[in-house]
Amino acid sequence: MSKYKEIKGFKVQTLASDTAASVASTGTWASGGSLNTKRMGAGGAGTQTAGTIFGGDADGGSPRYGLHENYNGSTWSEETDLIQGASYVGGVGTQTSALKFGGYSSQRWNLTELWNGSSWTELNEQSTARFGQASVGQVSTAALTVGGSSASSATSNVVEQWNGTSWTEVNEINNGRSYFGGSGTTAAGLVFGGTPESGYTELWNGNSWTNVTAMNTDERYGVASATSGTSTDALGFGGGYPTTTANTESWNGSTWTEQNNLGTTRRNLTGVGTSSAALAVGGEPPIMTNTEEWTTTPAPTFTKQNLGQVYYNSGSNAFKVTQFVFPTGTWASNAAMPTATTERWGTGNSNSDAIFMSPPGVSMEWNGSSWSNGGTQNNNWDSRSAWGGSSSAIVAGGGTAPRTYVETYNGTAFTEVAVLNTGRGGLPAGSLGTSIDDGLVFGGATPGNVEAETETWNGSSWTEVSDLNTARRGSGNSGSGSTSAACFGGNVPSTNSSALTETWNGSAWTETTDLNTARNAGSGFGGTTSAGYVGGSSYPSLPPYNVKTEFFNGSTWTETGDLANGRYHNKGGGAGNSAITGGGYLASPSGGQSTENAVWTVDQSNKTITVS
Amino acid sequence: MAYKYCTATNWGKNFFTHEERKQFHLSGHPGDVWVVGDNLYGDQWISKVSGAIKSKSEAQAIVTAEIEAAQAAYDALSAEEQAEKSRPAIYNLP
Repeated sequence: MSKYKEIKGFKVQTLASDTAASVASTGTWASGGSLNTKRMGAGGAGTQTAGTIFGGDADGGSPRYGLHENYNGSTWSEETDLIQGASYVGGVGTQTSALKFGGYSSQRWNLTELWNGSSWTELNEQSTARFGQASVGQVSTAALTVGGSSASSATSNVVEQWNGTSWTEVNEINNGRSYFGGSGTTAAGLVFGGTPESGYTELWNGNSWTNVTAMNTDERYGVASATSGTSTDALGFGGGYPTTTANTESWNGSTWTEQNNLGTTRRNLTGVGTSSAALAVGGEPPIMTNTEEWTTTPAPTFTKQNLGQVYYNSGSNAFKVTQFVFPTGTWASNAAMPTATTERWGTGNSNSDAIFMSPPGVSMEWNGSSWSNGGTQNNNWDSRSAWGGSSSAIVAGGGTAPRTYVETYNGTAFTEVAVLNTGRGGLPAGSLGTSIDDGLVFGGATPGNVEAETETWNGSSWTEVSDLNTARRGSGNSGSGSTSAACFGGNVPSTNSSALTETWNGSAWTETTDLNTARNAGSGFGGTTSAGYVGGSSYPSLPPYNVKTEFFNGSTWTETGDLANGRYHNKGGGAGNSAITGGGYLASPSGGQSTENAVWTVDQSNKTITVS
Repeated sequence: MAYKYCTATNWGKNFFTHEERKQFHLSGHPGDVWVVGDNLYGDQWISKVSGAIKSKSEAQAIVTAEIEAAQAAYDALSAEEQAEKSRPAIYNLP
């Protein structure tokens, strides 16, 4: 029976402007009004059009400034000075109700001061005097003072929480540091960057801190934050040691994305505002008066957006869809693997869930921010086919005869399961969905031969099905399981490195468009209409190795964001919008084995729907 | 990417706008040195801010001198004051 929706269609929402698919990516910095007094290391609070900064210094001498200025969106005006002038002070709140705490002027201070719009009042002190702390909080009655330089440590991990009356020590951050950024509230906070030079990022859930994905640029001493940001929507900008940076990065709750740079490179600047409307104020070197205003376009009126939503933009008379635009993806380096790896195997479900095998046979699990040791596989062989992630994976074949062994992983231990019908090594690198009860193995090599044989897996046994059209070893693969897969590249003896691509529909392989660059021993990720192939080499494998990523939309390959360093026998996997590749052989030093880990991220955007 | 180099004093609001940041590369450096994308929009901005064109080596010399001055100021601080800051580092313009 036909459904009403199929006969009459369905309503499409009409919007006056695009949704905020990726608001931060539309942001730019423009110059704002200059401070009356140049300074670095000031505290800040408020918004882009009602901002306030206090303290800081201009020459390194003592005493530090107590100077206090307000911004109205175009000019700064001088206000009543702090009671105790200091630099590297903490600040939260608004232009009419701001809290200042800590700081340095001849000594570390634990003083707390409250601004009520007309004067400063001294309140209860912090337990630990400090400067260079991160400030978390949006109102003057609830804040965290995090880390900083204290008498006992230049990179303290001590955290105190303000309840409007007094400070109480709460759980410490995992990575003690100073000169770093903060965002969010006392219930859901975020800190990032700082010194020791890092992009370390930690999330606060109201009780404890968790390490999450680091910033893309890891030398972020003196980074600034939009002080009124949240733990899932934040902006970090500037910083750096020994050289300063103009880099701006936005945080979406799980990853940092590079945005347009500040106009003027600087560190120890002050941030004010939100991730969509922020101020960058002062900083050094040299110590400056410059203000810049970060504005996103369109304004984030429509913060609610869903992947795949269709709407009508009445302003531009266009139907649009919110989607991932895969070729816009980029690779960002992340925490190095504990052990270099090349020809073993690796796979992942996303850029925050992966498992790689080390040469000694102990697995390395990736959670998006750090590596940990996993289980030890029973058959420690090269070039096995694998799919799944850090808590559930399957690995097949590889190594020396009989090459038939298959093992599943449950996040703790490997267990041998039914063997392949045809033992082989040289199997594809990439991923094939998340289910370890469904999948397939194809191609590879046996002594003196390359193979075309394909076998499907139903969770308990392997079944021989139709062969690849072109036998090959060392290819890349992608897909979602036994009914949908792609095979690309690899080593075909008669042609050496191959650009051939084939797709699998559950019953047969079909040849489709070639890769732009023939190669083998790269790594695949994604599905069959959103697949990627990264790294690899020509055959024989001579440097330079491949940095290229190509993206397959189901019919054609397009070159997209490169890796920073070429490599082959890199492994990995994931989805088309979130993947990982790691390890491999490096060109320099010759034969060097890599611990490098690169994560692939694609942002959502709004695309106009066209018909032909 | 090709660049032009100039010096210009940042007067604050609208010295560079959001629209201009989308049209050409722009980065500010010590000594009021600006590295500007070499296109029509970049040329228009240099004209707008009355920028004084410099060669790359001239611009680099200005930046280096500014940072050296900042280094000297840092070196003159007491050890206690130095511990609170970081010594500026000389770098190369793009």
